[in-house]
Amino acid sequence: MKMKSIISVINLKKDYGTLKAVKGVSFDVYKDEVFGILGPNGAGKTTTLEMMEGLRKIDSGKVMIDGIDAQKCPDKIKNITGVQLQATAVFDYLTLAELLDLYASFYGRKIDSLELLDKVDLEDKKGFFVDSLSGGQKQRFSIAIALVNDPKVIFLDEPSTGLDPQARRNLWDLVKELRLSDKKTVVLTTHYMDEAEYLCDRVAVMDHGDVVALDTPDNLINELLKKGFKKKVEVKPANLEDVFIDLTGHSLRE
Amino acid sequence: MVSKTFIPLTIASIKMFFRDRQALFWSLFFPIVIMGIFGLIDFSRFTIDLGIVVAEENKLEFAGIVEGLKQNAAFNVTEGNYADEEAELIDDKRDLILVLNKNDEGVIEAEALINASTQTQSSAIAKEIKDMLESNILNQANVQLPFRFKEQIIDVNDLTPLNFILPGVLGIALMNNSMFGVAGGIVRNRERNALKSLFATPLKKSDFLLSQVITRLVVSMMQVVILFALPISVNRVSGLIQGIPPEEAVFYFKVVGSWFDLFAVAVFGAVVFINFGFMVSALSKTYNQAVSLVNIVATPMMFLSGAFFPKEVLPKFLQSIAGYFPLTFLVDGMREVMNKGAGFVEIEIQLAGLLIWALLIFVLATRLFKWES
Repeated sequence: MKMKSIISVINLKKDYGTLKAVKGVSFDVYKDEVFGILGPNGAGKTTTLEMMEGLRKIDSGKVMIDGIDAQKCPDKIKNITGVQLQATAVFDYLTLAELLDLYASFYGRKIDSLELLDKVDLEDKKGFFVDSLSGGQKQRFSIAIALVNDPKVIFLDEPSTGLDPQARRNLWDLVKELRLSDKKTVVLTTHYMDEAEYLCDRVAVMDHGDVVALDTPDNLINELLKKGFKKKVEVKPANLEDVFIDLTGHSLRE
Repeated sequence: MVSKTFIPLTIASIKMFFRDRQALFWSLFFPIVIMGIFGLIDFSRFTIDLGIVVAEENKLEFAGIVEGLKQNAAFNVTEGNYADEEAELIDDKRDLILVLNKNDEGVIEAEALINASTQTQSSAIAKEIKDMLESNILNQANVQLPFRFKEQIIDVNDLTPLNFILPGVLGIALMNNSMFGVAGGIVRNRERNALKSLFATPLKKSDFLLSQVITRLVVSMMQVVILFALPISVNRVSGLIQGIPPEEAVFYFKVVGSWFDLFAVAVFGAVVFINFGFMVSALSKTYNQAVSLVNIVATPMMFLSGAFFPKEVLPKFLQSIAGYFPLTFLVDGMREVMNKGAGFVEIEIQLAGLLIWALLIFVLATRLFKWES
């Protein structure tokens, strides 16, 4: 099956003084897939993502999203993308509903904020301030913010960092739903491999500013096994997280 | 550059201001409290605690003088023996002790013990008492002086304590709101990445800046209106209840100059301090740094600019430095308009001073400002 590409990243570079943060990265993101950028801290994931979002100046190279050049028309890019940032980054002293309406106004849109809050399971928190939400609720709310302009592409930067296992699974369900029922293309960064394996159709592994591998999680694992890799300990069909979820249940604690 | 998007953002930031208790406290509650306190102080009732020591055998001799002093509203008179009164003075409970005695030769000896902590005032009073005693004696001797002295206090423009403190408090309120509002709003939201998330949308930076400036100006205008309207309405209500004319009410004040000029000077002052707010946000990485920096700038101005008490009580060198503070220009400008009826021409020095500060800080702030931490 031939996949249609919606994002093309071509030889993207970014220097911070002498530090080469991103050294000529190229990849394509297909329409309606969840694309993961993996890598340890400082690998250049966030910088790459921010250049794609039009938030950071591109030193050289090119990002095309849905046929639009991110460097030349950052405003057009912003109109068709939704961005969820690492920390919960919104004004204090505004309620969730007010924030959604405000963000929608930046796109010249009027939205049904309750419907959007319902989508991220926060409709009963509409009159609350962000600072009173739990970690998982804040993450889900920032996804709602990223959805106000009904974007074609959603960028999620380390969406599950700091969440407990229940909140993490709940967030994963939301991301799956965005991809399956809302037909959004999702680009996310993470340093949790289980998250990448569960959510991503394809992943790019970054290290020291370069993409060192790019494929589906399955293919990458098979490649490694072909090289004769064996885990030292035989893997049990369950892990400690499965035990934790079995003991404490799937229901959210917030 | 600027589009309609700033309107919902401005409405949102005004909402945020009213929900931020700390901002509300410093911008509105604090100035109202200061104004209330000053309004309630009755400056005409500042009294001198006067101790009088007269030996038992001379009581009759000095009864007239003692009685006269007692009836003077400026004195709070106590009588006692020398040791007790002296102890009270050391305990700071007397400002002045007057010891009246008649020696063996029949000469009246008056001695004044003056409390060093209220020396200026008490020395003057002691001198007045000396004059009073002398004229008493002269009167008794029936000697006419070759001149008469008449004293009359002329109350220029019928000014009240509020006429002094209201421009001061208003200046401080405008300074706090404009500087703290802008710096806090930018630095806190930069720190929590809220600015970054704003600019991930098509919102323009110029729209954001405009919304900040308009929010602070709207709040400044509300400060001006509230700080003037509140005492006026309290006067009206208390006047109706007590059946007295507004001129006699506690919070009475008079605006000699034009209300429009007064309002214009206040708004201009707010603009100057909005620039200071941008400067603070350019220099601070964290919210706590911004708070300290605002305090470093605002506190000396609050106390040295003559907002709370006249600059003239400060040492000369401090006075000359304080004369260049932007808050001094603002408060002096408002006082000149309000209390002396000055127009823009008469306060051109203050207006020029404010303009120079605004330009200087604006240029520096635009050079140093960063959107990202």
